[in-house]
Amino acid sequence: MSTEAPNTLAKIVGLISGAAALTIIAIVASAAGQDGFARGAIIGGVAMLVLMAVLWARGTHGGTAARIANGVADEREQRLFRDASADAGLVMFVAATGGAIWALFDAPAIAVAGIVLWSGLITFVVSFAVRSRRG
Amino acid sequence: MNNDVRALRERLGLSQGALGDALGVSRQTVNSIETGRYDPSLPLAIAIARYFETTIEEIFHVD
Repeated sequence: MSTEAPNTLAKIVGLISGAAALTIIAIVASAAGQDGFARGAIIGGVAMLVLMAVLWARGTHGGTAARIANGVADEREQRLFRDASADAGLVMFVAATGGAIWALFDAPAIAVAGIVLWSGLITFVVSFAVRSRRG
Repeated sequence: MNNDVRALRERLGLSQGALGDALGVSRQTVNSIETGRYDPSLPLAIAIARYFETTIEEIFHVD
């Protein structure tokens, strides 16, 4: 019912790839004069990389989140992750639609992007926690 | 859906974690199945029935 955990090399490559992507985003944002966005991307990105490293380090017996991160989640945990992702996607779709309408009234692009990203992130966390408690 | 997983497990003196290890699922998933908060997939239901050497119909009951 479960799959093999990714090996250590794959995890290290994942972290390095994430750090590289983060660096590129920060450089591009800074070059565009969006220093605040670059700083936020670095802080948020590093937090995510640290979270992934902690979950990977906790291994397959470190709880639902650790098992999902390690790729050994069982069918119930996979469903939790899939359903929470679906909830986040739906809310981000609504937020993007609202943001598009807001953009018609000269809303700043950074604000619209931030609302879409944060609405998805918060929805995922809340949905995952609630669904995890319910079953 | 009701089930007799908890009774069958306790009859064998198994912990939820031990049954989860035997079935390839987490302790939390075994707990969710026993409390009726999660209905297992057909492959997992078959695995549970085979583990207890009985049939799915003997373990799982429609409300």
